[in-house]
Amino acid sequence: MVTALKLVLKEVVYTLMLIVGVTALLFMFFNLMPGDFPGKGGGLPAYLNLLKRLFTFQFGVSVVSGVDINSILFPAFRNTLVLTLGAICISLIIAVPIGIFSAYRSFKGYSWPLTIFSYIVSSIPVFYLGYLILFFVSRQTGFLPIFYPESSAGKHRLLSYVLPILVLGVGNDAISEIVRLISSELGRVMSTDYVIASKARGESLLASSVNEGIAIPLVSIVFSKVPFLIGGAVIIEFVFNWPGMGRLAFQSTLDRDLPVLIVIAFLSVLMVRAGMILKEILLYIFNPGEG
Amino acid sequence: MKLIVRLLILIGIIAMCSAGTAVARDDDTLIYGEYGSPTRLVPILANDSISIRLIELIYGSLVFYDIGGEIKGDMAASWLISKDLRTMTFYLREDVRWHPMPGESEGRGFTADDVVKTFEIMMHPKTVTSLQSRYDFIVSVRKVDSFTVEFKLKKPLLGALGRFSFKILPSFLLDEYSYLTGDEELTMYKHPIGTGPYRFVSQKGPSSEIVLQANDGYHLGTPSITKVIMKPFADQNIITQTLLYGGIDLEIRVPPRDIGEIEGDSRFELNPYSTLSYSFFGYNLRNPVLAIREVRLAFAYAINRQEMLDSFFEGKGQLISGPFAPGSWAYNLDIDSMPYSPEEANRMLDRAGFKDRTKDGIRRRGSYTLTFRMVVPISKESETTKRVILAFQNYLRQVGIEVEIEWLEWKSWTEAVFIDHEFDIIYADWLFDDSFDISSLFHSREIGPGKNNFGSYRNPEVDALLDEAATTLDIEKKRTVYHRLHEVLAEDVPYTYLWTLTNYAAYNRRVRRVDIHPTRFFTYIKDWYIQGED
Amino acid sequence: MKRFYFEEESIQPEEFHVPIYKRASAQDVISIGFGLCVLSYLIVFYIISITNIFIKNPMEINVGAMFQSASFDHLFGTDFLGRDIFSRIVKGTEAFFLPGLLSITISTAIGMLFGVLSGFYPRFASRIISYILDIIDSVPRFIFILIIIVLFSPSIYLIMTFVGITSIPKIAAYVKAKVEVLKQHGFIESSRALGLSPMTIIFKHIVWLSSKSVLIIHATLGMGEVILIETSLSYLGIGVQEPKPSWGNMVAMGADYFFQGRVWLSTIPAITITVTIMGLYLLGDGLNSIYNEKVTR
Repeated sequence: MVTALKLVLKEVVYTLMLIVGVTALLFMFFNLMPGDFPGKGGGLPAYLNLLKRLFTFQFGVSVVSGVDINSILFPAFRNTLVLTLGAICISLIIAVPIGIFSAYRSFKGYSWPLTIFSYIVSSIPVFYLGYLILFFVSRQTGFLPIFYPESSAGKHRLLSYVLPILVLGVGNDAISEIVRLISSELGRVMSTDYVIASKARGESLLASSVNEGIAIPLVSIVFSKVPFLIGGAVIIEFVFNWPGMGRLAFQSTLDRDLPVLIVIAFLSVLMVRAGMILKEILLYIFNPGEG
Repeated sequence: MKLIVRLLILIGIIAMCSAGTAVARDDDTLIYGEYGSPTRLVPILANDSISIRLIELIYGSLVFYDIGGEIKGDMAASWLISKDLRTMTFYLREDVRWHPMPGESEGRGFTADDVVKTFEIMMHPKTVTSLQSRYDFIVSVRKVDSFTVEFKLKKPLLGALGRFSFKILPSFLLDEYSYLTGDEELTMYKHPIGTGPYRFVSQKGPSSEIVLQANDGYHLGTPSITKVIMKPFADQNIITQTLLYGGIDLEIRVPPRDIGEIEGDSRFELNPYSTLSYSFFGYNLRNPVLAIREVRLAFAYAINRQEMLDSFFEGKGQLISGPFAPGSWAYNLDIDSMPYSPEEANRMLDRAGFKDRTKDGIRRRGSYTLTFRMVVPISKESETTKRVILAFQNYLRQVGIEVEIEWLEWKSWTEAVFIDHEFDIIYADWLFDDSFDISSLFHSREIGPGKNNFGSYRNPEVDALLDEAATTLDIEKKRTVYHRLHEVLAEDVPYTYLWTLTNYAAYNRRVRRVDIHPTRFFTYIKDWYIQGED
Repeated sequence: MKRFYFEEESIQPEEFHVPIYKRASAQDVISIGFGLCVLSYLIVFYIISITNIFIKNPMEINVGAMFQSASFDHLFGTDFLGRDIFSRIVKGTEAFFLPGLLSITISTAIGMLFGVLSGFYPRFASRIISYILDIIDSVPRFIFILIIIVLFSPSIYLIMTFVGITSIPKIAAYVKAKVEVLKQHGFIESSRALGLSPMTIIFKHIVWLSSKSVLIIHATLGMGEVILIETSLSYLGIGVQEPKPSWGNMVAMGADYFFQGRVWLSTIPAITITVTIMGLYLLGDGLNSIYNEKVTR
């Protein structure tokens, strides 16, 4: 119990240090920037004030529009999460089976073209893919909607999610990463002694290697994608006109809107650390011997 | 494998469900698309076109120009101009109500206090706007009673009445403020309150759509279209596609390359409107080489404007020969446009003494080479802007002038051009109202940080002409003066005048009676209506 | 703190040395072959673009000859300003070649440095380095790049330096894990006992023998990443600027004409990008597969 508490404390302290590090860097960058704009200067006292407000979750007001940050940030965040979570799911759905096939020795011949396919798809510039899909799907065939207003309700709205999620899921480079990872890890695990031994005992090769071969690498990859959850959809948000974090961040940078950016960085650190902790827990569950 | 097949089937089913219901939407909502987002929905502080269009929907003014060009009353029922033309009294309508505040159901009444307060804030030197120079002909404003306001002018001004089309702010929200910088924490920044045909309903975030609701009880008649939604787009190419698909009803400004696509489609209508603006290349006369008139003339001769207009803008526009929009009363039709003549350009440059060349072919004279720095904002018109600029660079290289292009981000660009004056050439456009007051562009007193005569152009004759135009009350006289100005400025070429483009708005045919105001766009929206499905 | 996937890989440094020609399977040969083709055309293009021989002027504007389709004169046609697309594609390699190498070098060199330091000095250096790396890792990479670009208007070299910096954590973690495993196996101590200098240990054993798989893959991936990032930046308007050609800005500018049916302006550079990155991936995979051939196949 005590050790668990100590660990939690260590983690909290470390996270705080990280927050300080990231926000200090951002603050410094801003002050180094040429030109004059609101919020510049202030030095140490201004920075400490900023920190204080962050930790009390008083995010303040956007310098540019005067709207308070809470009301802009969370809707944007929710919008982006829909895209990025959906995209990761799609990437997993596509990439994991390919990875498994390519690891399985008996599928060696068939799996290679699939692997090539996954590589091709990961190397296409993502906005080009978006344009391509829009051109064929929506324009020529009128199938899926390009866009529906947020205020319209019902099934049309769900449909308008499909395209961007699909394109992001296919176009981000996670697919090739996952394929490569699963195929190498699974391949390696399947050839280790104890798995071969279990096969000899009659257990399915796949089942006994799942734990180490698939679950662990998956957990690693998915949690390493936490930053992607926040900022990975920038291009898709532009192409599909999605009001999300990526656009917000870009617009804020152009407007030199430091409060918004600092809050985004703050949230980002929090989420990444939370993800790390979750990952450690999951890894422990899957692999009690280590950690 | 099976999983993938199942997924494909699922997608197919969804697609088939949606195909049949592609464009169905409820009537009476107008969704329009803009490229970019508004900066701020507050009159006086906002000066970008996107914000201005929304402000036109939300706010009202004392008077406005109707389609025929006549002045009509908006919130002013009538007005009286004194015999000496120096006092203007406005009798306000008594049935105008402000939009209700969020949470309330009734709005307050509009009174003279609002007019006075708006004017005071607008003219306050600390308010961040450039409108002060436009209204400094007004000496004082006075509330006579709740529904009467009196303005006193410095001296009589031609077309003064038309200037009272400035938007009115709600005084009851601005009690503690005598000026506005935009940093204040005001509810009306987040939730604008106006007296216009549409009320602000919501905007979830800077890239989210803005929803407006028809103003019930609008004093000029409740608009027929009940809801207006503005959708900001990040990618210009997608706007036209969305229009064609049916996702939006109206595209404010169709890029020239998309016009062909829409023209052929019978479901949509293209509506040309001119915006009283023109594009130009501007020069910084602080650079001693650019101060030489022959050099500037050479620029004008060296570029093939007609070719650029035809190739990049599908010819949808008109070349101009001077600093006014053609088709306006100020434009002098007798002055011809500079022809495209590289030979003449070369001759000009030789005459200016730039006969020698460097080893790269750039002309020089002594230690001065014809190398210039052009700054361009990484702006929203990127496709045609890039083409024009690169073609410009190319034409000039052929006569031995080298232009280096530097892409700056919008804020840095504004600083470089208007404040630090660190540039040689810019490519930009000016947007005018109908008075075509170009004094802020070319008068010598408008030289300085933050002012519009960014090139430091100085010509006593032009100063005198501008002053004369500002004071004369005779419209014929003014026209003559402007024609002369056109002539002088065409000879002196502080700018290379390029063209005025015809803008096209495209909209779904179900929207009817669409009349467009050249600068504010939505002035006549209360007469638009949406035809139901037949 | 365990980080990424590679740390689990066991070490088989010199156990069974099966000669290359026996280890390579058909797919490896194809992969490497294709990859080498891509690499060679990249190098050829790069050389041509620096020396400006053989190709037309990629900047030559000819407003009268816009949007032409492929012909003898213009192998890939002309773009929206009448410029020859093929020469622009060739010239476009300049935009990412050196910056890409820069990015890879930075991430690999510094990543290894950090990894080795953390491995050798687990208590002190490791903590500090972990902290720095965690900071880098915590902010979404693209947003970080956007901020850098808007704040400092840097050249493409500087941008790619930052991209390289953002890749450091992964490599450092991998190398550190490798060092730890080697330590566990007593490798390091025994090497020291044998009198091998630290430098040899680091370069020969840690770098080459143990880490080369991830280094190879990272080098090839890194170049691909650079190209894709530059493309996304160009779409947003902040990549390599006109009139300098880059594959990214060609796809981005070409996209403006996409929906009118002039698809090839955008598609030709997009295909070039895809083929090139594929080639790099396959090269990395193939090399990796050969060098890391496990005996129990």
